[in-house]
Amino acid sequence: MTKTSSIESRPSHATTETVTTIEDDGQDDAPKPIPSKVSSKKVSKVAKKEKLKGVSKLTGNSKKKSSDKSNASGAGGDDKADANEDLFDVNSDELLKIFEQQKQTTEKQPKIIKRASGYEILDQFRIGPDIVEDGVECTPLPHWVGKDTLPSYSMMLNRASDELIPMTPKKPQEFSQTTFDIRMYQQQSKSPAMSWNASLTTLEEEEFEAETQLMETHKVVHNLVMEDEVEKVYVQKVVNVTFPDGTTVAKRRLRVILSECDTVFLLQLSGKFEAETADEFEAIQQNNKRYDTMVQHHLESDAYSNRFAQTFENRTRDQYTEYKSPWAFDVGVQANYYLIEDEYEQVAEADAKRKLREEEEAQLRLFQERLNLERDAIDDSIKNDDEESDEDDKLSNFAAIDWSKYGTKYEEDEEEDDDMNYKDIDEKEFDCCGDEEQEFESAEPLEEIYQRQQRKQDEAALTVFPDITMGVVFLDRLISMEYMQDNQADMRGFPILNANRDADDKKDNKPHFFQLLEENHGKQATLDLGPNIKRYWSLKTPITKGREVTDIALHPKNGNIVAAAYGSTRFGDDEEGVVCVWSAKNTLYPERIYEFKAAVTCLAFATLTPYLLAIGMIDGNLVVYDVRSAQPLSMSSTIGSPDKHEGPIWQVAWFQETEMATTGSVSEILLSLGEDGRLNRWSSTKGFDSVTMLRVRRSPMKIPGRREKRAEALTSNLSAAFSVCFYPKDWTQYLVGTEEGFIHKCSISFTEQFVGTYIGHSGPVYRIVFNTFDKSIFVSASGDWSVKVWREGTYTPLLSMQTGLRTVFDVTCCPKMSSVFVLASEFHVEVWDLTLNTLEPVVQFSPPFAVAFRRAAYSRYLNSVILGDDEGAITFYGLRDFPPQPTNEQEQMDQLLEGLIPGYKKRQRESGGDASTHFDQYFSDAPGTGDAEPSHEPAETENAETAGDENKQEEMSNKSVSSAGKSDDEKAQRKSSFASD
Amino acid sequence: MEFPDIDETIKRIQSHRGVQGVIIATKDGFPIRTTMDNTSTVLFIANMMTLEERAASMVRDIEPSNALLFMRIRSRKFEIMASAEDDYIVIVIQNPNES
Repeated sequence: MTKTSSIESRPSHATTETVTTIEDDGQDDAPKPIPSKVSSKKVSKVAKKEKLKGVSKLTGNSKKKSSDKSNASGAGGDDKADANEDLFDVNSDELLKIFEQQKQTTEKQPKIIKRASGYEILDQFRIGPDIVEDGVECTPLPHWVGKDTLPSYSMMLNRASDELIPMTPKKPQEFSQTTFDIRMYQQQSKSPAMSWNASLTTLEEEEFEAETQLMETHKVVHNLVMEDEVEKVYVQKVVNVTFPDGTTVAKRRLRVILSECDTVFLLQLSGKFEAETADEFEAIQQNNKRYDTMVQHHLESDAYSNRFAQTFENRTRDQYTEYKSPWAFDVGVQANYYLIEDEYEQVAEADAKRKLREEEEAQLRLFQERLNLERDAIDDSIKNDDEESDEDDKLSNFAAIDWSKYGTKYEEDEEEDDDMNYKDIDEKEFDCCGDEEQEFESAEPLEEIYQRQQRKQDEAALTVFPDITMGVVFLDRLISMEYMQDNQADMRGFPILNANRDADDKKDNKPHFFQLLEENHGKQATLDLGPNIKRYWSLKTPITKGREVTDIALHPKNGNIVAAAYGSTRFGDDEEGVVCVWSAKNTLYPERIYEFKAAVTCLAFATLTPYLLAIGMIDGNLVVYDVRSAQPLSMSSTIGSPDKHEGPIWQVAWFQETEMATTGSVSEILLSLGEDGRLNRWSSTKGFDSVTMLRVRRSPMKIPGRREKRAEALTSNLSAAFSVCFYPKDWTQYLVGTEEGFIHKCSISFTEQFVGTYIGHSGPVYRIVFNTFDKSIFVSASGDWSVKVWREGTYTPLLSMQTGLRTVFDVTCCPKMSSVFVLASEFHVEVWDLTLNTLEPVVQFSPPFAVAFRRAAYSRYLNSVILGDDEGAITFYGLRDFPPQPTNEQEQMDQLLEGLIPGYKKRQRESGGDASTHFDQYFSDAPGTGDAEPSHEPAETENAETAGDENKQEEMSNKSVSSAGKSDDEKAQRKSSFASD
Repeated sequence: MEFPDIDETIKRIQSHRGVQGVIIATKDGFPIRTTMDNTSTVLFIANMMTLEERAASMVRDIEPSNALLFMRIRSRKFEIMASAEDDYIVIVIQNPNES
């Protein structure tokens, strides 16, 4: 019985299923069908078992060359001889024939392809010798052949024929000794290789090719080295094969060279076996026994104990790394109220700017649309003119406007338009349209102009010097106030701090600030000089030097502001006029300077619109300036217009007119009083024109005590008027002081007539002022060297104040002391306090140089009298150490009346009634008993009153005597002054 | 309001007795005009700017719609007056003992 074992490998997998077919010798007449897969697996298992038991049972690598051969020969046993044939010696033609035959058989049978891969070869080898099919015997030789530790293949082969030799493991000689081999093969040389030349069908070839490519040898073999010979697998040989039926088919021949790659063993543990036939078998056995006993002893005896070796503890070592903690800082924003407000403002500003920009853009768009319309219009006109050239012109228009400057919005339009046009226009036409371009190129797009302007503005904004004027002006004022600090403090009612004294006190123990104050107060209290005036300072500049101060106007709202007019009123002086607006805070330089070609005679601030300053000039012109502007800003002017006064304007005034008929609204109207005897009322509704409000007629009345010189014919029946004054209580009535010496009481209702005439002055009346407290008392300054005190309704003066033969140019009432009047006469300043003395001024002050005073004004705010002289300076004087005044207004009025009418208070106390009735009673008697006997025709109403009060006349008679005596005293005084002069 | 004669005004200020110097600077601290030497100018501006900032902040803290206009510091040796506007500051240094 011969055993034929063949290994058939299926081409589907890299792993090979080994099929061992065992055939009986007696059943060799007919070819056995090849067993199915299942059965073959079983067989292979059996075979494997056999192999494990003893590989040596296998006689060798027997194989069937081909199925038909085995059929023919009946048994494959004799084929062993051919097994070692060289692969390359096989004739391809023979193989083809075999192939054909095999093909015929395999058509009926499942195809079995036998082959081996390097992987399986390795496996096979480790189990035992390997057999490869198809008459090609593969004898893989392991590369460790020749090493005695493993039984080599040749040894196994040699021993296969012998009997089984029992193997004995060789145990280690000592307990601790372990024997294992680690073999690392990193051979450069080729490992045991298998060459295989097989002829396959086309299909098989392809499959095989795919497989060899897919074969994952690298999983098994470490470091697969691709060799050049692998490519030789694909060397082909084409052979024409003629089949028996006559057909010839060209077949490719494939030579497959299988080679094993480098094999790497990472670890190999192998026991040592010695054959029992070995020489040292006995010794080995003894050694093994000894080892076993040793192991047993080890398990049981006390000689062996577990011992622990104490090793050093791992010394732990602390390791530090210094690092900086991450740098952190607090960020905070403080949101103040004002920051929030600023933010809001900024937002509002941005909004406003955006709106502005949008508007501008809208305008630009509008402009663009208009441009388009115009363009269309041009097109239309051209169309009408010449229809043929229509297209040309259209194009030229488009070409002329530089659309690129209009931003993206318009570029789109442009493109569309252009496209449309180019569609319509032939290229030939396009050439002939270049003539008109030049006309349009000069026209600049609006946006470009706008941008250029904007740029210019921006540049200007960058280079502009910051507006430092306000700060500088502040400082200027402050420093100049510093300059006059003592006087300023005194004037404004602050205690004076003496700087020098401070400096002295620094050395020794410095007294406390309040102590200083007390001391100063004490000193002032002890100095009892009586009423006096103190000169604070003068306001003057080189411009005003030598020019007469013709008028002083106080600002009705801002008490610090004083306007002064300069210019000569003397005939023949062709002087230019100046108006300076001073601030009491800057005593060194005026805030405003207005220069005029003619001398300025008068000026006045409006009350409702206090920034308007009316200025009258000697040439009859009237100008209204807005003092808010540093530059002379004339609101209205008569300069150059015929509507002006024919002579000098002597006073300008604003009066508040209440429109009773309609709403009772108050409007302020400018009046001007000129030497031509006209009181003009100006309105600016239609230009700047005037209506004559009053013609000051010459009065036929005679002035007592004046010699009538005017026998000659008069050139005009109008009298020059120098002053006008409205009643504080009744705006419809006013007083006009004339050159003749009359004070006419007028009403706004009559332009030609007077309501009454106050007669007393024999010279021109330069000023009429109402008392601040008692609104029925007024004083008038006149050129007849006197100032007279009048009461409304009483056409003779109550009192006449006169000290010398000097013209009194101006008089002013003190707004704080009802009985105090300040007179500006030539070379004198006189202060009268009627409670102290009615015959002499309390203070009479002459400046060191012979300066003539022209104007006086009492500033309530600045607490001082402002006097203008003829040298171009206005001087501030303070009234000091006057008797304390009652705070009650009624008491103030009583005080004044007491001064005017001695015994007034006493009488008031006696009667206990209304003071004014007594007053009236007293004065109703006066005309009859007084020395002045004016022929007052208009005072008929008053006479009627007096007629009704006859019974009281007797009571008053004794008082009127004292009054008469007083006027006698006045006369005496006057005479004495005459004498002195 | 327009004041065309700033230069004159500055000259006038400078001519006052006791005035040691006038400095005009922007809010960024750049001197626009000065009558003092460089060192003092820089010193005064640097110190006054911070003070002015604080003072303005204080004023506005108390009343948001308010604004600082003027500061005056009186010391033994000199007196500093500073007028603060939106974009600039005007500083005048004067000797109080002289004036």
